[in-house]
Amino acid sequence: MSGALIDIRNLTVRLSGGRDAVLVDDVSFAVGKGEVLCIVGESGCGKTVTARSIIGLTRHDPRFSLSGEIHFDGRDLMRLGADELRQVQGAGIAMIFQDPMTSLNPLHRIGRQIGEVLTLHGKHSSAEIRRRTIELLRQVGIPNPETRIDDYPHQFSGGMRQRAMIAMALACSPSLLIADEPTTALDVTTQKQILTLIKKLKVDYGMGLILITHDLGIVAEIADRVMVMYAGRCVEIGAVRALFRTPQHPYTAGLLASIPAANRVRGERLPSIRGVPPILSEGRPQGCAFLPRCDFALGQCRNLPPLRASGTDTDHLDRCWLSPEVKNQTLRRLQEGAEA
Amino acid sequence: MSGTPLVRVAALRKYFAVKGGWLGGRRGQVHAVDDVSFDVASGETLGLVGESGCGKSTLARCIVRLVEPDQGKLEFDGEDITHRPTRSLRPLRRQIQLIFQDPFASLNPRKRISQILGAALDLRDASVSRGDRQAEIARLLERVGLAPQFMDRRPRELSGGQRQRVGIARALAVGPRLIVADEPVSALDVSVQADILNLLKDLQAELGLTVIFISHDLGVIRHVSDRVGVMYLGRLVELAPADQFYAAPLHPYSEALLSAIPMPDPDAHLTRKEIVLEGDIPSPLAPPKGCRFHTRCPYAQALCAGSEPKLSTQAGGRLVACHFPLAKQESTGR
Ligand SMILES: Nc1ncnc2c1ncn2[C@@H]1O[C@H](COP(=O)(O)OP(=O)(O)OP(=O)(O)O)[C@@H](O)[C@H]1O
Ligand SMILES: Nc1ncnc2c1ncn2[C@@H]1O[C@H](COP(=O)(O)OP(=O)(O)OP(=O)(O)O)[C@@H](O)[C@H]1O
Ligand code: SF4
Ligand code: SF4
Ligand SMILES: [Mg+2]
Ligand SMILES: [Mg+2]
Repeated sequence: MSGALIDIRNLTVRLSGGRDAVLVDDVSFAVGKGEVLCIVGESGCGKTVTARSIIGLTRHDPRFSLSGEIHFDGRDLMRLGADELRQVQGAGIAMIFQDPMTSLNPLHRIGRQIGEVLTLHGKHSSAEIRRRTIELLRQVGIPNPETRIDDYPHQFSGGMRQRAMIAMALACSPSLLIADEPTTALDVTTQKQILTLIKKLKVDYGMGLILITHDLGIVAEIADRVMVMYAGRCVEIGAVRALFRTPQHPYTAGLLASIPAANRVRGERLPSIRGVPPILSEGRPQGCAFLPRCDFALGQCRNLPPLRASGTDTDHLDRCWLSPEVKNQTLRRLQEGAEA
Repeated sequence: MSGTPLVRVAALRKYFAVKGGWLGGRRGQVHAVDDVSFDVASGETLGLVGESGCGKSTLARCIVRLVEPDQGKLEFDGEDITHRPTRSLRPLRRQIQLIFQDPFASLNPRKRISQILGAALDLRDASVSRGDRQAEIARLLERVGLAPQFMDRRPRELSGGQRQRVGIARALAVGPRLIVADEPVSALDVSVQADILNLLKDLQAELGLTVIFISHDLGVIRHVSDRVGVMYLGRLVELAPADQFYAAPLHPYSEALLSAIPMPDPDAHLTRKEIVLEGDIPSPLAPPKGCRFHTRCPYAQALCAGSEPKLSTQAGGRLVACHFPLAKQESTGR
């Protein structure tokens, strides 16, 4: 994709030292200006490791080794030294972490932590920083920001901490925001408010967004494109409508069928995908990693399927050997069956 | 439902003092849980929903007695535990377990998963032999969908959802009668989430487990709950059987919540009418006078700003705190 804000090619993350494993395997995707890419996938499939690798965090850990390319702002981030990397990031990429409590410093007041980010990104007077911090806290929906700015993280509720993290990420007006489960602890109305804020930043400033979430309702609402990961690999990627309407991979179809929707009849049991995902550090099964859990497996599946388009939509790629007919009819029916 | 409820919460209150202001030491009080009352029957699942910061976790921490309520009364199995001193809480821990909202902060990073679960098993029965203990830990991990290999890992080596499942396994290990689950499945993908919700259902059928389930995911709440309670700014504003609640909420805030559920359909917005709440979220430091929701309620009338509606019984035994509860007509949004 030309003109992409960030273009990630063949990102691979290996873990060494006792538990050798490939946590992220040959993942490629791009995000354009003002575009929202959502990453979904089973717990432990490598979403967080992917995100942390993009901003270079896994580099500090000697047990991780990375390969591939990450093009951002005309440079390959993988080739930059630590100092340069920090500069590029400061100028453009912000990340909201999955664990607010471990990324907020418990010993410092919320306001001071946001203020520090502002100080890093320009010289302001302390009164100016305070004013801007209060404004950011108000934007993310913290009531009484004038008072709560001096609270410590433990005095905030789970959702308020998440919002403080979001405020901190937005403080440096990033051109790319990577958000790892940013709204999991938020009620639906606050969630809506945050999503609206993000949409506004995307429209007004062309901010790109990589959003990791388990909430397929949020994906449907905000994503332009979706990437589905399974066991460290991208198994399906495409435009949001294509992916929800005609899932091409049995794992995607299974996920869509498991949603306990509020508009669904209250059933005795929820459909789920049988079996458990492989433990990456114990080695991945040969061929398609979904094989042991797949109801459609063929002999061929012991070889790794390529990531390619099944139909005419060349932007909708999947990694499954099934014929396009089976994908379009059977998988679609699986999902409808769950909705009925 | 008959006999003594397993949990009885009566006019419970918990305020937190906060240092206010940048210049001075002006102090305020966060009205985290304010005059909340409800019962939970043995074997029942009560779902709790509400705006972020409305006091759900604080209520949960009161019920498991991690914090002491300021006022009101808290009974477990007919026994008053409101002010039971910390040193005599250990027997209670065996019966009541909390699944924490934040799995990152609630697991000791220095301990291995086997040690974390082992300590929980000891709380149930310290006389179990070593071999049995390992087998039991493996069985617990399996129940939450984790392979036995995870035993030797430390929390840092787990993903978010894997940690959350360790938190669930730890609560189950104790063999409690009551589980207070604070956002237990929010970090899980929908398939694992379905497994965990099914597991909770099974345990309820097998052991008569009672559950208080906090979640912002109204789809999950609908699936697990017998009754649903809605909180707003420290108050319980509606309590109703789940089916009735979803069919026709009585409180305007409940209606707004239900209308904002993100739908797993990229075109949902085309057919759905959403109620957008106007106005700022009021501060729990100084909740609005009158009905606490009146600053944002689309149905507010003059009376609402002056007098606070009490939680009262409506036709059909449903409880709502509103002067003008929504009629049982079809409500907008779904
Ligand atoms: N520091 C580490 N040491 C060893 N293994 C790790 C480490 N960090 C992550 N892993 C493993 O790598 C895999 C991918 O983890 P990651 O955190 O990326 O998952 P995730 O997709 O974000 O899952 P979740 O949705 O549960 O947050 C997991 O199986 C996890 O156990
Ligand atoms: N230790 C504390 N000191 C001061 N204030 C606190 C403390 N704990 C909680 N609060 C405040 O009490 C209110 C209720 O917090 P609580 O954590 O119970 O909310 P919640 O409903 O669980 O929210 P969320 O959905 O975001 O987790 C919040 O305003 C919070 O800031
Ligand atoms: S490649 Fe084979 S095993 Fe893998 S998802 Fe497709 S059909 Fe199933
Ligand atoms: S009492 Fe009035 S303001 Fe409060 S919820 Fe009812 S109608 Fe709205
Ligand atoms: Mg993660
Ligand atoms: Mg909470």
